[in-house]
Formats: sequence, structure tokens, C-alpha cells
Amino acid sequence: MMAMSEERSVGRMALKVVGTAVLILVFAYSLGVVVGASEALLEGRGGPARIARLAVALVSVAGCVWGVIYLRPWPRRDEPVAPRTRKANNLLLLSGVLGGVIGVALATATISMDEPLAMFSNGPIAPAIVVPVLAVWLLIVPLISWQWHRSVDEHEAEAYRFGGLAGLYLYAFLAPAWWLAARGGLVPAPDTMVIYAIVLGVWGIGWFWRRYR
Amino acid sequence: MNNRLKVLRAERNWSQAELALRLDVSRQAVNAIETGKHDPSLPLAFRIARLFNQSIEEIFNDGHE
Repeated sequence: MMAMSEERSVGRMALKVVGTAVLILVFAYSLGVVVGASEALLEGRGGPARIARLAVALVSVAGCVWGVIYLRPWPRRDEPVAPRTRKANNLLLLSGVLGGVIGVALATATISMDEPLAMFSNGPIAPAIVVPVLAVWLLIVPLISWQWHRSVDEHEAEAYRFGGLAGLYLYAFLAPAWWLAARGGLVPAPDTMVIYAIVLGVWGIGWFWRRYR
Repeated sequence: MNNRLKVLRAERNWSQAELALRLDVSRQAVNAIETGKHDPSLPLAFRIARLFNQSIEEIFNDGHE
């Protein structure tokens, strides 16, 4: 009976982790909108549309915070956690926070473009934002990743390899197919970031599925 | 691969989390081994065998006997 409920709780934890990841993304974007819209309003560049956008973003930020607290994606307090698992979880949390900070920085830097999804476009971004984000991405994130790989157990490592292989195969077929189709005039030129997002998405889904199935 | 991990754990009244702590793995790893979704490596199989004071063959069965 206890084992059965524990198996179910692994599935529940999986849903909580997915929900939290989505909420963190929405939170980062919404916070960026709040910062950018507030800045514009303070500089006297306000308008009803911008005020409405700020209000929606504030509600979204509050909703995301409430959502994470409601989901509680962390182990129960009375549940023992192995030291290496705790370290791996903390590193994952840290990379999530850094991802959130990068998301806020990019959303803030692109808010003046007045496009809802400017953050994901290929438009220019101020070097003052780009350089620190690159420093975090190229110096800190690899260190965290290296430490994380040293901390995970074999089950998680196997799940990660499975997702990585699925992502690699997808990249090996998608990138040249898009490139060739573009040369044949069938589709627009390949977009690096779109390919990156698709590959990372498949990688994550594969990793997640193998870990929590 | 079949195994008796769930039975051995239940005999000691350990939760998956408690067993995971003793093996220094995550609870998801214990769950995956118990349900046959993950076959442990030899080092982990030895750790499990030592923890329960049994041989690997007494805990794991590849179905060829």
C-alpha cells in the first residue's frame, strides 16, 4: 500500500516539476514586462495600453508566485534526501534561478520593442545586457552543469543521456533538412534559436520522461 | 529484470526515501529499480546486496533460471 502510494507520488512530483518550470518561464517574462513597462511609465512614455500591460504582468507575477507555493515542487520536510541528491537538486534550482535572471534581463532589454514576444526575436540588444548575460552563460552555467553531473545518481544520468541522444538525433535530421528546404525555396532561412529551442525541448522531454515514467 | 527490492524494503519498514538515503541515490531511482524500469549498475547492485546482507543473485533475477 505504502509502495503503491509512493509510485503515484513520483508521478505527482513529475507534474509539479513541469508546472514549476512553466511558471518560472512565465514569471521571468512577466517580471521583465513589469520592469520595462514601469520604466516607460516613469519616463512619461505611458499610455492606456502600457498601463494595461503592466497590470496584466503584475497579476501574472503574483499568480506565478502563488502557483509555485501551491505546487510545492520540493521534497516533504520529513522525507530524507541523500546528500548527493540534495546537492543535485540545489544546483538545478540555482540554474533555474539564473535562467530566471537571464529571462528577466532579456525581457527588460527588449520591452521597448513593443512586441509581446520581442524577447525571443533576433532584434538587437544593448551590449550592457548582453555582456553580463554571456558571462553568466559561458562561465557560471558550465561550472554548475559540471558540478551537477558529478552529483546526480546513475538513474538521472541515464535519463539525461537518453534525452541528449534524442535531441542530438533530432538536430542531425532537422538542421540539414531545414537548410536544404530553404535552399530549395520551400521555407525561410534556418533560424538557429528556433532549432535550439526545439532540440532543447525534446532533450528535456526525453530526460523528464525517463526520470519520472 | 525482476528483483525483490520492494519486499526487502517492506520487511524493514523503510520508505523509498529511506532506502534511497541509505543507497545515496534519489527516491526516483529506487522507484525505477523496484518497478523494473531501471537496471542498476554493478556498483549499485553490490551496494544494495551489502545493505540487505544478501548476494546479488538473491535480490535480482534476469529470468534465465
